[in-house]
Amino acid sequence: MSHLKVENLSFSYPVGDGRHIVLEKLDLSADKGDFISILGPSGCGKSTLLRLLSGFLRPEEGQVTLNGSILSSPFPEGQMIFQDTNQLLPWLSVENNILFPRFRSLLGSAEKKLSENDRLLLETIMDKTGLLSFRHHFSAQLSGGLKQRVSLARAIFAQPQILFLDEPFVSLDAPSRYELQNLLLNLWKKGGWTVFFVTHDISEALILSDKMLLFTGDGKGPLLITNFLESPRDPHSEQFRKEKLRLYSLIDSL
Amino acid sequence: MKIRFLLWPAAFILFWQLLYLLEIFPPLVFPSIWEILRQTGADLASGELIKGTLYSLLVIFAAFIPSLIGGFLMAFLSVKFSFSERITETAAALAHPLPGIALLPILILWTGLGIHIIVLIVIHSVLWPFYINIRSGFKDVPRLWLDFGKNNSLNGREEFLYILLPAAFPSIFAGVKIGWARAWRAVISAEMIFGTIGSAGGLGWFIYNKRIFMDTPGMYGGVFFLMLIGLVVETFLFRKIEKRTAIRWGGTHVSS
Repeated sequence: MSHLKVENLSFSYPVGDGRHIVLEKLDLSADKGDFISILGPSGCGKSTLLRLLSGFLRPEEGQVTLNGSILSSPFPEGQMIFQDTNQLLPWLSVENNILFPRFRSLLGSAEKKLSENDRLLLETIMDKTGLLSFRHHFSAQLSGGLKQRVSLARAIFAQPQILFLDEPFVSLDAPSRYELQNLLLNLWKKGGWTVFFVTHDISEALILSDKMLLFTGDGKGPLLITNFLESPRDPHSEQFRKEKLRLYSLIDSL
Repeated sequence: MKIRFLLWPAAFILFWQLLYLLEIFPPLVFPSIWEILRQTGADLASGELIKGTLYSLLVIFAAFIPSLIGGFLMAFLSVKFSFSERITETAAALAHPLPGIALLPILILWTGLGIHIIVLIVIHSVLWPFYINIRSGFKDVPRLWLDFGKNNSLNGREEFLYILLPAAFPSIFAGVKIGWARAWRAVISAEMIFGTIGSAGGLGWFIYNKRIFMDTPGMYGGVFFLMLIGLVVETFLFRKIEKRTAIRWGGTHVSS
């Protein structure tokens, strides 16, 4: 069932006297549980599209609808995870950061007031994201990879329908990046959220997603491509390499 | 930490006593540390020093409260409306560098003599650093955190309470620290120039009076006592608060 729907979406930025067109008459629909990568070179409008989908930006033309109603502002059912590792609130512990979206007015006494279900959910998420021993840490004491883990845990605890991820692992070293990609995949398989994942890394998109929205810099509409590689996807396999080359040539030829 | 806290005062006392023993300056101008301690002890025992200090502190707190309210209000308005931002920014640029003491004759002319003059001068010295720091604290809140708030549908009150205020706290607190130092400077100098009205006088008046009566050890005692207050408040209050806030949160705002 398609629950996030983009119809006739156009968006442009003012540049000098004219306008730089980022998106023109884009149509797109995502089914529940889709993992869609938004792929393309820097500055092509990937993040703009994500901000439009998540309600942070209003379209110039067309509309984005979630379960039938038009989006006009950000919404807690669609949790955004940013590229910047400083997105955690530094005055709150890891645990309180995770609790914040749903229990912000109770922080400090939240532990006593959580329902049994929420407490269980919190523990499960902290356990799955490997954060149990960092419960009382502050973000200044965490590495970049750990901070993004907390961001992920925080978004999941908010019980979203959709996750919007804007190159969340781009500033991490290769091992942490690999670890977090796997973590995200495993969590997604169980959680069943619809995921929009912005990246400029073709391999990352191929490993993670089932559908890819391929951008080029020329302002023409992005191309929706289905990823037929069987999971778990091995970046060293012959098939994977072939598919990667195909995508490269697609970006070049567009 | 407690030992380190005493290190510098101890070094200072040793140095002072060394200078005294070398007899470089006449003892009437440069008394021995024991004489200073004895006289300070006597002034403490008589209650004179304590009363003066409490009096100055009272003036500072009387000035702090309206300044904090005023600083918050001005900062809030200037963040909200560009029209009031222009006014408050111009006012701050004009008034901030002006020494409070320069306002003394004007204030006397306008409002007459009274204890309120000293309070007004202290308000002038702390209002502007309060305003400037509170405003920059609010203005510098990263968009990322505001976006996170929007994502979770925080209303205006929640955004202020749960994001803006804690995010701006290190900067606001730095403003309070600056204000505290400025307030002491202002109150001491105003008291010295202004003397005393009625029966009571503050620490500035105490120090000034000691010089008039040639009680040099008592005068030094007053100054040292003032320094001690600064040291104690810095070590046991300000630094503790910073350890729990700005330093723990990442130290980007830490200022000394």
